[in-house]
Amino acid sequence: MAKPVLSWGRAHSFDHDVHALPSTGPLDLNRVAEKGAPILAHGLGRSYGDVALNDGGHLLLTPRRDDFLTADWDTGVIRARSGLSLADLHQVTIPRGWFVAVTPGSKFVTLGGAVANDVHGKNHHQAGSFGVHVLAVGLVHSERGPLTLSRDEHPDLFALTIGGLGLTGFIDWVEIQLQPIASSNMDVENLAFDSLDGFFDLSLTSADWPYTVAWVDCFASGAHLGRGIFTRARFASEGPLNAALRKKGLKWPMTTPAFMMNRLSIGAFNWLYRNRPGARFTGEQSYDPFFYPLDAIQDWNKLYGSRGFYQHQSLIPPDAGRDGVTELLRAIGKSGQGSFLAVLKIHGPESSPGVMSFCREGVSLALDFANKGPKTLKLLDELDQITADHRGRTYPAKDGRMSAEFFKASYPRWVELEAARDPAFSSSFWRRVSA
Amino acid sequence: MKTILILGATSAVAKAYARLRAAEGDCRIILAGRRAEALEDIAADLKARGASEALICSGEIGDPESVEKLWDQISTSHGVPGEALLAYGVLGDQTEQQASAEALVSLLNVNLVSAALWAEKLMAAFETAGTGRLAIIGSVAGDRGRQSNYLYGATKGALERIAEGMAHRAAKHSDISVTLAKPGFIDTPMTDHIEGKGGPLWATPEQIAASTAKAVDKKRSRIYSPWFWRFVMLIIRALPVPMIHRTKL
Repeated sequence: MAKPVLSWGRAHSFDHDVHALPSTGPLDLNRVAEKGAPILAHGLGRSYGDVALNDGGHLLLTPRRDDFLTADWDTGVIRARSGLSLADLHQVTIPRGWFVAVTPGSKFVTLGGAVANDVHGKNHHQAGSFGVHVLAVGLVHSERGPLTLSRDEHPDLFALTIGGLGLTGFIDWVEIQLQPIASSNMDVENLAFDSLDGFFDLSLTSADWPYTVAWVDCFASGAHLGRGIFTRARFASEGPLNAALRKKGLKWPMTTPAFMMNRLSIGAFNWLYRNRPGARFTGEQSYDPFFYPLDAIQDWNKLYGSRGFYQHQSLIPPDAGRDGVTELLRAIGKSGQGSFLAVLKIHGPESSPGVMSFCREGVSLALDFANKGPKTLKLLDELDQITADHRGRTYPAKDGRMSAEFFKASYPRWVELEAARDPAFSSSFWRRVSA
Repeated sequence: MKTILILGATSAVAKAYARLRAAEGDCRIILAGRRAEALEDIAADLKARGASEALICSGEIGDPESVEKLWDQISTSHGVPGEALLAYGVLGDQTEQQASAEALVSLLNVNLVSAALWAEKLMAAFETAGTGRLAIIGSVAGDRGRQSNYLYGATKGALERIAEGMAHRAAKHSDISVTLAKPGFIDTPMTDHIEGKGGPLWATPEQIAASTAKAVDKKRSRIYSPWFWRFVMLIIRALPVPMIHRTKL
């Protein structure tokens, strides 16, 4: 059935032949999608840009394929179908004292999407990205049929599938190592810092905290440039093991009129965010609001109005990090196009097997911008340029517009993925950046 | 340890129901359905989610001729279940059912005749054991005959009479109950072909399963799922005939 499908950022909408895959049974790619048009798997659609879109092609929806295949509660190794979300996974694992080793900022992502984008979280400096904890992947290849990939079996294809943007074939199941937890609560400390130096100092002194992240006020300038709130946390050493209730939560009621997203409103938000009572909270908090604050508001992506928004996450190597982030923040301040959620994070050394994975050692800055047309695209190009000048790269899972030239220069191994790509698979993102 | 029989285990609501029971732990779940391979997958999933055991029984559960044989197999190997969910059914194409005797007989056999036979087998076994919970998935479509789906509606309406009578029959046993759950629109593969699917009237299989399980635990004899269908159907049932006849419902 041809249907328009939007990216999470809502700035892209394409028509697709949409196929909701059945919940069980083997997958015959040739039966699901007729030959000709390219195929792409699509989970819960939380990718901001066009990595999970396939303009004019087939989209195989995976969320109904969410069975566990095996679970060993002594070792914390589980194997499940790629459509299982982290939210549903945790319903089962938390009461047994296990938590996913790496989680992104939304629980509404599938295992398949987590592998395809090799996602990362607040513990990257210690745990690396999701791919580090992937033990095996079941891939259905349009020509080679079902394959089991691991560090021992088809290791090259395994390394290209992790962070491979779903292009090496259909990710049917994923086997991961979970981490043991003694409690579903976190010990959390929030500390204000007054400048970018403050952020780097806190990152250094907090390196033994498993989870660290910082929110920055992107309108602060001069001596206050890069001021914000630093958060560090760890799972509590004792306490309850309760999975979050599956309640629907609040719903953002409509797309916000675009004129409401301006320097004044974002400045006001940033002031309130920095000065809200919880901003300097120290104490115990459930894992759910800690890791997934935005998931509490359904359809929060409509906040940015009818034209949607763009995300931009850049990662700059350690030696150039301070200068790079300073320049990025200056460029944003100058443009007057602010971001509600500017997030700074120190990344640890690259340890994922993923050839095309975004993460490596350095500092990353994640931003979102309401889509105001050409001027937003111009700013994003400028941010790419600053990133490139500092030998950095931007994150495909959040991108919807980077140039093919920049992509190819910053991910030189893209040619290996292109060579290993399942010929039946492609995506809007891939056609754009590999052109 | 409780033994739970799920008839039509590959259906989306049944699968969600079985997962809820598995999460409660300390139970043996018997999955009956037609596709052995799919049942094996579901069994593995339920074990990972906490079921002590998950076993499969594959066969033509919707064929009236097979019910006796399958029931004997199940009850001989696993004894009388403490709880059973009757969740299978087909929607089919009403125009085809109107035109083809074969399609109509098949609809009646699957949704009604075989289901009635299963219900009788289970009820008799529950009476002998003095305990048991039977849950049947009906439909709001059984509440009033409408041109678009009266044949499917007839099977679900008849199931409601059976469930109602059985609940009456069970009333003298304090530990036997019969529950009929009547869902409205559910987002499942069975309804994927419906255009304009989605919106506030549509529920997930997980929602239907949760309210059904709750009703079974409370030994309620009939529920609408979600609850608001009770009022929607109250209005639809109350509409005068000439008015219904002017609609395309």
